[in-house]
Amino acid sequence: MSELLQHLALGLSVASSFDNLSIALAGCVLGTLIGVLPGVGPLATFAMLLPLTYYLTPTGAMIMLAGVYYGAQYGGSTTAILVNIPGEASSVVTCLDGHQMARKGKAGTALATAALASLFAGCVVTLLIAVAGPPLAQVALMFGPAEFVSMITVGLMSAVFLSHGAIPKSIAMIIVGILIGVVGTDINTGEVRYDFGFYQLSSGIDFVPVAMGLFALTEIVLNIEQSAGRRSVIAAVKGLWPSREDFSRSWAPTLRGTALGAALGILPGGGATVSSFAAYALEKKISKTPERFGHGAIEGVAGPEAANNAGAQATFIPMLTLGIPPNGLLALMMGAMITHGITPGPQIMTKQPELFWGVIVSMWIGNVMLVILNLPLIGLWVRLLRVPYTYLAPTVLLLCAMGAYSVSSSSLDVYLMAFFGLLGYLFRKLDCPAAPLLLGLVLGPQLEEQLRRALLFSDGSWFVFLERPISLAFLVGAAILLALIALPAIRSKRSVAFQEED
Amino acid sequence: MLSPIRAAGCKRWPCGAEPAARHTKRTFSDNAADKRVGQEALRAMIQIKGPRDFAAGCTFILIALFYLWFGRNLSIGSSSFMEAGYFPRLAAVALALFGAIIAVRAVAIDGPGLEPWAWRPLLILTGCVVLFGLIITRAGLVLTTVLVVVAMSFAGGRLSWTRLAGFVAALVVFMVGLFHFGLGLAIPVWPQ
Repeated sequence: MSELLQHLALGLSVASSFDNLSIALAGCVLGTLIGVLPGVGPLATFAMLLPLTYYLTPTGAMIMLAGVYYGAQYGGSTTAILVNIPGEASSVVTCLDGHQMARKGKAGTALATAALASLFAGCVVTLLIAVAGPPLAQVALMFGPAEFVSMITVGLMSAVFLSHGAIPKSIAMIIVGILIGVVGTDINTGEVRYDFGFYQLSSGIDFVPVAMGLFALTEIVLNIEQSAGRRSVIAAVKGLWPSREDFSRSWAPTLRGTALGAALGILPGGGATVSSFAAYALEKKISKTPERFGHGAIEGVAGPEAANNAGAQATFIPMLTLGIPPNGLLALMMGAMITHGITPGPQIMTKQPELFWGVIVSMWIGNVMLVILNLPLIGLWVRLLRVPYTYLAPTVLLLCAMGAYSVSSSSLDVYLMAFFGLLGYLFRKLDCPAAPLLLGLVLGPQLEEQLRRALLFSDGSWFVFLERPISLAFLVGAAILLALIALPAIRSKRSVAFQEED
Repeated sequence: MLSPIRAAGCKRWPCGAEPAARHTKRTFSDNAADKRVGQEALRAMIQIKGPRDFAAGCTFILIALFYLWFGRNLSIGSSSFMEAGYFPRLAAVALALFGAIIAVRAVAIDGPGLEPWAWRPLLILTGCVVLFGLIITRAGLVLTTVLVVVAMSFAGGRLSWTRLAGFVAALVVFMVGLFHFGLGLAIPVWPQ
């Protein structure tokens, strides 16, 4: 316990420095801003802001990205409630009852409930990370290469299982990501491979132009394509503070949502979206008046909002302690860490405690900042909702092009971004989800490295993965997941859960 | 690299009614009609029921073949000592396998058809990005911003000239402010 307090004190001293406080604030503002803007999703936002973080210290960069990450969640809920447009996948559920509340003139209450439930969930999960992180990292420190290979495999499998999209396609997309990741100089032999005749590619393909192309550029084209007549009524906001009755109705869903989100978030592949869907289903099931759901039930806002924030934050646990990013966003964040020379994984806590604990405490601070930012400034965010896409598209495109260029001051990254924009469009038209590609791209090099080591130690025998107990357990887990996917009952449930997402 | 598949998919497979319609229009000798019926049966057998997934599977196979061909000279080594070509080849083979599974399933199981492409915004946007890459170091931030925004306005949702001018001016200020003064990037502001 005292150790925990010591850690948190260390984190507090890092996070409360003036620089880091302003960085956290900037991250939250940018995240909310872009989460609110119509047609700019969180992955595009993230990709766009990544090059900016290269000018910060590693700790500052992580704090800023974490701020952007949960800022985007808040921003997404705001648009969900006010305009019935989910800013991102995890706020789809919030649309159901949040927007109904807004139409009944309770927009303010819905926003405040969402913000407070998220704040509560954020605080609890931050504490959970602080408590659960070190033991998990201890376990992971005992892992050898074989265990890492199996862990990455099961992590990727469950990411596929819990994300939307057809399973074989998601797996194929992971492999495409891995293949993009092998471009460049092979670390072990020093041989340059797959440079396709461009000597600049010998240092590999940076993930920033890939992510920008796949998400930001593709998104712009799709938005222009589908832009016809997407005008919606923006609900007026008044009366922010929830009444006593609202409070008594929403505290229990908030608690349940937090618990559910935290549990699902820790699983690789879990996170905000799954959590919010699960929380909504749970609230509806245990409610005495399920018929109110869909017509402005405050429980249907509090539960999922708590769950999505809890889930979003709990996904940091596998990334920070095991080095496994559970979704596309955290894969990008992990890529940024690697660019900053930090290897995410169990060593991070012992080698860079000020970074680890600083980021964790800054999550806390960020959550408070977000409530302060969101509720009084709601008028500003509402006005941003009215920004026409005609202005947004060129701005996003230029920011991306500049960002890609600035990664290594070379136009090749800009061309790569254009190429991946085309590729992203092709994949989108073929219903191939692009987020798994990012996971493959970020995890691929590690997978190769650990696979090489594992097989070097085992003298080339592939059975090593079955002989070591922890590794075997992981693989059994992966097999069970695969079997679950094959079960028709689960498959149909899964498609129901994700059908509304797009 | 992928267009042949798509083009073929668009033209030949999705419209199953077409051969029958043609059949009613023309007259054939008995022999030719028999042959025609046979062909139709054959075509119905290889009819692709899920063109979108089929194209996706073929795309994956093509990517895999592309990698296998490009890495054909890399040495593989052995599983106990992998060289540069081992892992990429393993991944490419796996990708081809999954591509094949997806494509074969799409032949038999009904799925969505191919979607039309919005070529105009796609090409204009890609062109804008390439343009940016080509001129940024020589034309500088201001001119590049102006050119890219004006070029992009052809992609859709065009503004009136006065609004466009105002927007471009604001964006130029923003870009120069952020990247030149804010982040201090070594990129010329004005044309060199």
